[in-house]
Amino acid sequence: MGVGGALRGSAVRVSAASMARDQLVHAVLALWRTQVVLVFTFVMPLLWLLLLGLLAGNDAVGPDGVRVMQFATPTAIAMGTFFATLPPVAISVAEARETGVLKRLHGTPLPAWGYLVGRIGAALLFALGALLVTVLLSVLLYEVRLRTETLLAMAVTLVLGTTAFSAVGLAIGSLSRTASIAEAASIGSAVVLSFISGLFFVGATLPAWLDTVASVFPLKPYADALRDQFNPYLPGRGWDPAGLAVIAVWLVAGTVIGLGALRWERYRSRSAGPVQRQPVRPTPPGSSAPPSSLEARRTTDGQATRGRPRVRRPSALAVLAGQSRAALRGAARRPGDVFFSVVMPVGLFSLLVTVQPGDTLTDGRPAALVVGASMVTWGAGVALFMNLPEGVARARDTGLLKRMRGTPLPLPGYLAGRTVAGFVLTLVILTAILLLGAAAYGLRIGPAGLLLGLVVLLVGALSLAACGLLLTTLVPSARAVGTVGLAVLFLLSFFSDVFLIDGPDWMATVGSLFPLKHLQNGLAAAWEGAAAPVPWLDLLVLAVWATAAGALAIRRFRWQPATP
Amino acid sequence: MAAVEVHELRKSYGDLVVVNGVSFTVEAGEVFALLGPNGAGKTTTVEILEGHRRADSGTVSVLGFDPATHARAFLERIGIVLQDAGFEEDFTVLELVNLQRGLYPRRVPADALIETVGLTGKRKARVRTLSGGQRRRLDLALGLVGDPEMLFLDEPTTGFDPSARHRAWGLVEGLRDTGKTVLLTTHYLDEAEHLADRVAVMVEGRIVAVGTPAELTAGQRSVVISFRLPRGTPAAELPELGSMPVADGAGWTLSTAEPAAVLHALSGWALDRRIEIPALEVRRPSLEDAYLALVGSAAVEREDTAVRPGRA
Repeated sequence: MGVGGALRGSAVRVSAASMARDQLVHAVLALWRTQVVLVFTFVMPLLWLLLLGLLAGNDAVGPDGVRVMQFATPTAIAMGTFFATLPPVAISVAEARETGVLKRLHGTPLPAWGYLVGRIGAALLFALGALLVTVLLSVLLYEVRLRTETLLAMAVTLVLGTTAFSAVGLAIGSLSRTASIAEAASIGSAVVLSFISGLFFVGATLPAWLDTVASVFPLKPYADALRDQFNPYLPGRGWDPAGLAVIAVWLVAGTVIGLGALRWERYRSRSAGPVQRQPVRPTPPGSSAPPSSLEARRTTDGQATRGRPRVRRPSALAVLAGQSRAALRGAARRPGDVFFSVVMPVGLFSLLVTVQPGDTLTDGRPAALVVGASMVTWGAGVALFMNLPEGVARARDTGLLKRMRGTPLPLPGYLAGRTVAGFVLTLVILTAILLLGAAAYGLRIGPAGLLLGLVVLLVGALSLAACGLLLTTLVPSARAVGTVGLAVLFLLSFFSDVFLIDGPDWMATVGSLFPLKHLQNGLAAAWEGAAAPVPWLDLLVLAVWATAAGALAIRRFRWQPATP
Repeated sequence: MAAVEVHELRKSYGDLVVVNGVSFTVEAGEVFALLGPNGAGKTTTVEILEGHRRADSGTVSVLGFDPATHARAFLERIGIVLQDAGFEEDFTVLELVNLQRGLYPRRVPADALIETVGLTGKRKARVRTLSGGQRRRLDLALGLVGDPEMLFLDEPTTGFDPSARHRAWGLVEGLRDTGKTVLLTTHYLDEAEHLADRVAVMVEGRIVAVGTPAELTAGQRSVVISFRLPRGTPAAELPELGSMPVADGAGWTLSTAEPAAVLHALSGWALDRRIEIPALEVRRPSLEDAYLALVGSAAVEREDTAVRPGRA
């Protein structure tokens, strides 16, 4: 194989500009190929905007033709630009470090700034994309008006805000030991911040102390400024120096911490140095055993095979227990999964009960009970309809399933183990919410209600797991499974009394076709005890979904990834 | 001028001394192999030379630079093929080669490079679809894309099939012909024997031998005798052979400085018993034998405390 002439390099000057451009194009492509980012950046805010348009209508609020959506649009912009910058920067930096991409780059002439310009620039471009799409949609569809007098202040707010979010993302990415921690920390904090900054509520007021807490973080001043800049009834040019100052402080802090903690090598467990393996020593010739043991050595080897271990096939229960333990351990080691399936629903429960105007809803049921049922449903959905199928698809993608197929483990044993682990997680959520509800919000449920609730939750968990597995068989890669799962769950939640929204009747009708609504309704009815009849219909629908989806999933189950 | 000069290099992680006073020189245009068991400190040594890590003490010069300064001019003249550097899985071979190509002032044509490492059929394939060997070849391509004067290869052919391995060897030989300096670490002794002008054997943070493969094997004065025994003849019945035969696969191997005496004893014993000695072989020690002797004698002092495998 001749190398000589063909591989002789030609000399060129590498300009900083060309380097930055290459990195930027590359990073944009990288984000584009990560479908999750597209969901968070474009689909979520647009979905939110459309749903809000659907629910709130777009009536004129004043004689001058100003419409309701004039006040919802800035929130969607804030959401889109925020989710386009903070999580992607954090995740991409941590992922590049974890996969060794940063280590490779460290050995090339690319300076650190070149890499960061690419990554952060790409996130900013995506934010710009989210901004343009949202504005275009709201102007065309909802006749939202842009105010020329605040445009400058708005541009400054947008640039400063998204840069600050990117800097905070960089800090999170640099500090997180693994990509999955970065993912959980960034998306988790983004969701929490969105809630406490009032991005998901329109019209509802948060407790004053929560407002104060949120004002310390950059998202609330950012979203508030945008809202004011869109508000046609406010005078002035939309400048909010105090808010901008808070954002600027975060920009500086994020940059300092992010650059200070940035490292090119992956974090190692425990020891600071590289992994030390026990050296494998070959047997030195000449220093071997004495002559008499030559024969002995061979016979010892023979005896090892003669002294057979007792043969006993593990019982189904032992297999199930082993698989469940392994699946639970796996879940516990993915902080993102734990956050979204356990911490987030419990936190949301607390928040949503707090923002309810009274102790009871308009239909007279206790708010804590209904919200509790909703959040247990959401948590179960995340654990069993999103995390479970994503885990199975990941095992398929990485060849784990293929390996497993060569062992005596039966497929139902594996899948049942996963389902049990998901169910255990839902029980954790249930317990946390019930305890918190009883302690803080006067939630009282009788023993019969609790028992019936457990039955509903069990059947519901089975139906969600079955649907999740069906999802695995329909969608090619683990990443896509997670994304589709989250999108379906999020969308369906609006139709299923999970996010409490008084929508039109047709939404309830659509929701009643799917298991999520029946799990929520069934749980709420069970907990009400004597005040409500046994939710037979909900149980029936859940059981039908569990059977049908489960049978179909088993039929279509694939052990290997679809051939590329 | 020497391409690499290392003097009294030391590096510890906490209490663990990984590199313990290493000195060696690699001449420009030389292919130099660093051999040694896992955990010997090879990777740490090479990573210090690449500028990835800082030494605790000692002096290091690569192409006249101190790698620890991580100067851009230095990085533009070296190429690194690491064991554990990752790829962005969603990109194609061609995209990654082109991206990295843009970082160097001297650039190798992308298609010719991809052809050379044997990935032409995969140039538009995403990295996630590549096999382990194909990834390593991409790794090699990325290390070469800047037309480096000095190339670091960390176990470059691990996971290659035999034909890919010979291709890679041909590539490294081609590099030597163009005057590039290559420092490679490897577990494969035939690879070192085939490619390297000089070999250094590293054990427990120290270099225990340096020389050409021929010099290292010449240092072994003994000769290797191997044979099998007919079925039904236990090894315990072998006569006194001067040194101990060691089980080696289905047969026995011993190394001796007195081959005539051993052969005499062995054949006399066989004639007496009217048996034949199948697969009898007498050969000069290979680099592998030399290596095992070096690694073995360095490790022998710990042998007594270690649990010997196979005797549980």
